[in-house]
Amino acid sequence: MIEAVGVRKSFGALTVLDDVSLSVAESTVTCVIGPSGSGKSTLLRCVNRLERIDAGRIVVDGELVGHEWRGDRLYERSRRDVARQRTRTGMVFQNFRLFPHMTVLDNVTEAPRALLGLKRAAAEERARDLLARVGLAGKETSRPHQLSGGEQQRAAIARALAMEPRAMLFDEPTSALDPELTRDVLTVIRELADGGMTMIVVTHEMRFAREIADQVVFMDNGRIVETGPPQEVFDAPRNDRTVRFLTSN
Amino acid sequence: MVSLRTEHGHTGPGDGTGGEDRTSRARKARSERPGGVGRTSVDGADAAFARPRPRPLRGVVAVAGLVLLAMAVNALVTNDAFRWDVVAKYVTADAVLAGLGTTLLLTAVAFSGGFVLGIALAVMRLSRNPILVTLSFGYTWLFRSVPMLVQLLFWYNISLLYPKLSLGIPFGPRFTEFSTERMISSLTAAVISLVLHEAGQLAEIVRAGILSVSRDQTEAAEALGLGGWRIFRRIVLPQAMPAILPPAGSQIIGLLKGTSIVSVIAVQDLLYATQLIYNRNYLVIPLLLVATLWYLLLTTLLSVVQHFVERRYATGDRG
Repeated sequence: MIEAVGVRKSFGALTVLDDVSLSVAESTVTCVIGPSGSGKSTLLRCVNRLERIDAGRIVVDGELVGHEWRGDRLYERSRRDVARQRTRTGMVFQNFRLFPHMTVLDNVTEAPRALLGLKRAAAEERARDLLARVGLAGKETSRPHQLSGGEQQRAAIARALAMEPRAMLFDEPTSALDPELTRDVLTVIRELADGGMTMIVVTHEMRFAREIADQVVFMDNGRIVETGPPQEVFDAPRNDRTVRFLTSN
Repeated sequence: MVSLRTEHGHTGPGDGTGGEDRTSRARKARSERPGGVGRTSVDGADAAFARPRPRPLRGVVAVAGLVLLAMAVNALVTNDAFRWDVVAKYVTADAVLAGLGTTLLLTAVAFSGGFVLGIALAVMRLSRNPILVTLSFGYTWLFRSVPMLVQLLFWYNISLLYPKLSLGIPFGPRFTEFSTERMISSLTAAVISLVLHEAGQLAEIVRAGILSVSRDQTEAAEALGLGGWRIFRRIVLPQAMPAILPPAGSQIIGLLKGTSIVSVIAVQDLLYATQLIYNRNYLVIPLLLVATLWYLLLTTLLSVVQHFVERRYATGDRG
């Protein structure tokens, strides 16, 4: 479903992704863990083409992300095409990034109305369903700043789901939340996983990762150090670096 | 907050005599201060019974201000040269009202035209295309560097530079030709130069506003798959508005007053209309007062509108 092959990315002299390869099967959950600055978020942003990659390739749903063949030459896709590709992967950010000047309902209906050709009434009906699903029924007319952090993040999840993505990307979705609010957000993510959504979750919540992941990826210094099922990575890590990271947590 | 204030109304805990107690106690404390004694313990202190700091200078300033104000009013009313009767006669004269209309028209056209052009320039400046960036930069540099009056005179005399305008293929055949002198009246020259000048100013204001919106917002919208124009119109611009409106409000007020400059090329705006009258009857001061009163009224109205528009756009949270 999502595949990265030999992905390289650097900002100036700093290499943030170094020969990263990863494969995420349909309807599975991959949790990416690792220290700050190890390239976890960058990898996620590359999947959504918020960052360009310098080498390698990323494939989502059988389509090259950001590039296309014309004859036997590889070209960058048009901005329009990149935007279309982005609708297939919903993204949730650490700092929520709701649109502060819109109501919660408008946040959720904005993209479907613009891109799926939905009329206001139809889009709002779907948005209400989604908001109810993430436990925000009754908050439709609130502004983002009137919500708690946990509610904002759940609204952001509803906003991403409104485009009916084939996969979801979570970039440290609970890092800005206190434990109580974290729980509600994790519940929503867990329900998505149970519903068969393909997901990549960058997280520092080890217990959650262990519980929800089909595959755990440990990254350090721009490289994938270890990959495997949670029991393996958490209980019997093969790499010294992984051991050190896990024991320090 | 509320309970604090109501507590303040009371004189102190217990009965009404507490107030006297407290006053005498304060007086005593003050008289004892040189000795450094007074009450030094923190016990018994309660902010609810604290009194505002005495501000003796405030009374002096108030008296001085009132005297100055009385002098000013006196100077206005008793000096016959103001001729308030003439002011009253001309303030709603047809010619003055027509001039007022022209001033308002110039302001509205220059501001809306300048705003649209300014947004385009700001977007060009922030685009990734180096040619557009340079064009926008060059425009802003030129039109912000040359005084408004000079630009006005240039456009007014454009026919000296380009006697004819033609429609056709660049460097190729021409289809039609116009005489520039006939096409560019003084009013047209005024509109053109005001719009172009305002665009330069507003471009900078809009650019600063756009830059005040976090890049995170654009990214969040991009991640949803929204296109560039939609992101700009629905996500970035509305959030830039709180940063754009205050300086844009000052800009339109400045523009309203600035339109009076067109009187030098004989456009009959508010100022020129009054000038035409005093050139005939030599009542210079009263007629300038007529113009002044209208400008005062209009700028005041604009300030009020600005206040409400700003409140409407203040979203509280900008994150």
